[in-house]
Amino acid sequence: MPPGKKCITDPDTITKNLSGKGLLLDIGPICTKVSIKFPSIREDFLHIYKGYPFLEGPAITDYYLEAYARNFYRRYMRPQVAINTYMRDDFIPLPDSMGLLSVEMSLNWQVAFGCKSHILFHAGVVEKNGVGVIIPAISGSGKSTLSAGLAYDGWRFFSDEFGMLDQNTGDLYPYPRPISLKNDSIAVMKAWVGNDEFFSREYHGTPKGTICYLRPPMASIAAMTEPAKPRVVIHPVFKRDAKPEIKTLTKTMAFFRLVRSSANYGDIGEPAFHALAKIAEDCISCEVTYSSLEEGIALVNKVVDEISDA
Amino acid sequence: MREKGLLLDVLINPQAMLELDIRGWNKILLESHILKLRARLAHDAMASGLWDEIPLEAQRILTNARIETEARHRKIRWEVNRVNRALFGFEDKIILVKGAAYLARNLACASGRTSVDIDILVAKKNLDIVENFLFMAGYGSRVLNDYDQQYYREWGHELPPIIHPDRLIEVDVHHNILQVTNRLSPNIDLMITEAKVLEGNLYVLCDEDMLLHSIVHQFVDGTVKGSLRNLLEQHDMFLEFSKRADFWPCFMKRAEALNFTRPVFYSLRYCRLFLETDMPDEVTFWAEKFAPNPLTLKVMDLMILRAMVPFGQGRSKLTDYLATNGLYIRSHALRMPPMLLATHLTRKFLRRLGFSKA
Repeated sequence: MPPGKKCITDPDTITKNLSGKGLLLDIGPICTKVSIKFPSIREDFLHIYKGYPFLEGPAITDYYLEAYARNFYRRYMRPQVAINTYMRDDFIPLPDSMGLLSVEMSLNWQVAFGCKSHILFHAGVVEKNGVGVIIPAISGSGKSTLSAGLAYDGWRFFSDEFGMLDQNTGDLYPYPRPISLKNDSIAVMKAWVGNDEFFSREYHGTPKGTICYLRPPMASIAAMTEPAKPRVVIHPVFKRDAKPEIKTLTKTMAFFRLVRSSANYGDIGEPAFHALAKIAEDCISCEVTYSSLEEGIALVNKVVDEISDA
Repeated sequence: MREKGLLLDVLINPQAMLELDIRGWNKILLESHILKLRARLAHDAMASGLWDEIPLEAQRILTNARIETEARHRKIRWEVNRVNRALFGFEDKIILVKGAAYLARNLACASGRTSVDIDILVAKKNLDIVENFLFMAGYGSRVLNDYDQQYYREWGHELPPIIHPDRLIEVDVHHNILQVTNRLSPNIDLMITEAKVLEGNLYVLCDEDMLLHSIVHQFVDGTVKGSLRNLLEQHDMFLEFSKRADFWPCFMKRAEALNFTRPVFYSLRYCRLFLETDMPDEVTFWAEKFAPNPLTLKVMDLMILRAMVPFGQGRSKLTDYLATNGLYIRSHALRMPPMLLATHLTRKFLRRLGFSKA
């Protein structure tokens, strides 16, 4: 839990705040005031965010998110959830049955477009024994599944979507939101975790197919304020029939691939250049090709073991 | 009028940041975000040496805004360079206006001010040439229907927005600072003649005109809704330009010559009332001559704060709504003669209903 901050634990107060003036969801360096006007979405939300710190407040708030119905018709007749983030949002309202998707997408949007205080990587991040691993990749490359697999295999989970690097210290900061799993990886992760309680409902028929959220391990949530040094960068390539392979990248290539994976490199400018150059210089960077989750995890551990031995 | 709210307090006196509790911070952070003034607060906190004393969370949130605005500034400077290059071979004056001009002059009002588009002003006779140069360099007109194209060209004060398809920057090419149908539309040649050279054929308006442009933009043409940042930029320019000993006499003379005395009256009045702008008594006295009748003034006073800073304490949403929309209608009524306005709005209305594509 965030040190020195008081949290609400009483379920009634949590629900009351979430349906009314807003619930302060405090994750890593970001505090968001969330209010949801639909009971069904509140239920989904509170299930997947069970065990997260909800601040008693008042607390300085980074973002605001309101999930509401535009009018009576959209609330009761053909329920549809609209989102207000007070940012240049233009989200298409979704049916209330997919409300959690709207909420999660909006939280992502706020970070992706609003966060400049940290260098953002579109990447999964995990840590073990002080070794921070950045797993940058485009959507659908298996980074969420790989990060989730590592998280439920003894690693501390930072994020499956947003690597956050402090410009000044060069430390990675956790932002452990629920993990978004798609299609085939849902069954893979359910088998891997072995407890359906940690998963959300499955949302079928989204533009990306079926989506299901997985709550990160409690220990990762509890340690969400503790940073780690980046030591390894792994670019995952998931291919069904591929031969497992670890390919070390040159420092130059490592640098450019980091640039490509950063959402706000251009905005931050020079400090981001120096921070990424330092990672390219200091970290092991490689491309890892794997054909199953077990194999991927074994290869990541292999890369990390090599630096521990050295 | 006395109930100004925390945000104005902090803008007038950054030291007030040190007195804020958490609720106060949340209030000014949210309001400044909506009014596009967060980066300004970041700048003020740094410039007054308060940065290390404000809460870490506030530092982080203001840093987001500061970095975004600095990136915008870099982009605007670069895009000015690109426009200049696209217009290579065009030899008449290219006058930068608004944000790009403030940046080019490194004016105080550019600090923490977010600009999105590039605005340039050229003589009307050069419009087609400039448009062609930009098209040849890869810029393109936003897809608009014929009525909109005609509306811009016939009654507007600028070409339909031109955008660069790769870099997604909008370039607005103006030939006047107000619509030609607006009865306050000035003889723009006076402004073009007095423009000051930056380098080559790149110009900015002279100090007085730059200020008048901002004033006219806010009080005649634009929507007053959420326009506190415009008033703030006028406040900054008054402060910065009045270091020149001859500024105030020149400014008063210029306002009269261009017939902008009424909007200038409003600007001076609200700068003084909301931002406590320092100005000589003779300027205040001079401006009083151009005040509207007491009833109009009362209504403007009531509306302006509500519209400009739409979240004062204990104010009803209804009055805020009425104020904002009242001023919006006013800006339209000023913009064109009644019959033209009626036809224009009917067309827009029909289009919104889906009856007509034109």
